[in-house]
Amino acid sequence: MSTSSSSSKKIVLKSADNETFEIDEIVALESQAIKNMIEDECADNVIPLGNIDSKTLSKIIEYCKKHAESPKKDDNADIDEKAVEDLKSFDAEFAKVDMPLIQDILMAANFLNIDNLIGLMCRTIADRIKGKTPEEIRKILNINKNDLLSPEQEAKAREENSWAFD
Amino acid sequence: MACEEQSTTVPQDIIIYILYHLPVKTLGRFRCVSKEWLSLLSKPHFINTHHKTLNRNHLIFWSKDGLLCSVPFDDLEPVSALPNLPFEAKWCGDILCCCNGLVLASGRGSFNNFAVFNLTTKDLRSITWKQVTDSPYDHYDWESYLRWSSGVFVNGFIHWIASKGSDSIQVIAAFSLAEEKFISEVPSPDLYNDVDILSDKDCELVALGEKLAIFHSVKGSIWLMNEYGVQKSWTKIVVSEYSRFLGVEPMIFYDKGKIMIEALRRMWMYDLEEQTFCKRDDFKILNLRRVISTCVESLVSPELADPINYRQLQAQDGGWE
Repeated sequence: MSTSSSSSKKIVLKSADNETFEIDEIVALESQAIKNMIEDECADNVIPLGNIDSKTLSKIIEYCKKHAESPKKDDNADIDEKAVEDLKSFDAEFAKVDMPLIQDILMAANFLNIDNLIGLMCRTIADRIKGKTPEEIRKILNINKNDLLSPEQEAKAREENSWAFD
Repeated sequence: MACEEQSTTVPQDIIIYILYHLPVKTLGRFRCVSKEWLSLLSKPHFINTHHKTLNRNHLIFWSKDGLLCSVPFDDLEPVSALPNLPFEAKWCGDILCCCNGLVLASGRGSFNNFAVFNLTTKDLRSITWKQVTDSPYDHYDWESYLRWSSGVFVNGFIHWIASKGSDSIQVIAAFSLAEEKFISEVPSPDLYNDVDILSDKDCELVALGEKLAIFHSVKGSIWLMNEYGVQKSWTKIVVSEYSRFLGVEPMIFYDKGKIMIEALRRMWMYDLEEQTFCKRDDFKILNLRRVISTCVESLVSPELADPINYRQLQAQDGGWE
């Protein structure tokens, strides 16, 4: 199990709004994309992330820190269970943010290729939109207005799926 | 948390991963969201991946009011009534098989009336059947005749315990739905000192999750084939404290890592790791008369029960990988 220490290698991330974040390499390695960059030696001292703002990036770093620090599976079966529970409640707390931020985190996690975080955000969004109407979904997920069904098409789709509207 | 207007649009290739986590009923409503969603939510590739990812099991049962009902294990209210069958069906033996969200029902004692319906969308089609003429198994042996009444669907094959040859050896027969013929038998467990379990009338073939299993309903032992078709992968599970079910005929199901046992209209959950039982009192509200089976929920259309339709639809199913 590794914890941060002053001697460990640091990586600096720079957000779209030019804020810099210095983090341990082990935390950065949670991102498959950054891992590839480091392995291919194309990461300079500072990695610019032009499409991620500082608010989103700090959330992502918070997530990666926690996941990097918690013991990985097959270390020890006893620790495992407690750590898994701990991580689960961390994830649940982490996801308690508003929908726009969740979507920003999802997009950033997708860009940085952090599988667990993509999964967590997808499940969170799914839970939140479960009971919503099509109208609400269009608004929440910012669906392109040019892609809407015509009134006739929508009436037909509703008719064919009437079992879902009871 | 207000639903603020925002500029970010999550692209479709990520949206798909969100939709995999939604229940079938929600997806039915979301077909009205946009043209793109309607098209996506109707594609066989999406539909197949969705029910495997969601893996939401329902219990199918006859209620005390004489209704055929279903209810998801993770949310016992409300119970929904299954569609009316186009023939008379009462109590036993009429639900033959469930897979991929579809239920096969037959009229009592009649081999002419079959219907396939989707558990959640209630879409129902009457179907015709085709006789398989080149079966190498003995169908007239009384004991195995009884066992032929229901097959167990795992891995694209339907399985039965059947007898073969002049000395009536009991084997696990496998019928391929893709090739519409019997393929080589599934190896039965290496028995060591055990008796021939396939000949034991208290043993039945069951599907636990995606795995084939043999359940001994008196001893409470379960043989589970962890890797399909691999003889060495059969492992024996002995359910501890099983004696509580002596003299009753329990039914066995599987839901998300737990074995569910129904006996005397009560539901028990068995934790395989802890080897402990937990009584599920929440099932009391269900008004159970007789438990029939379990089935996952899906958007799969019963039209797909017809192989020609299925192939046509698959051919049209481009993109979205």
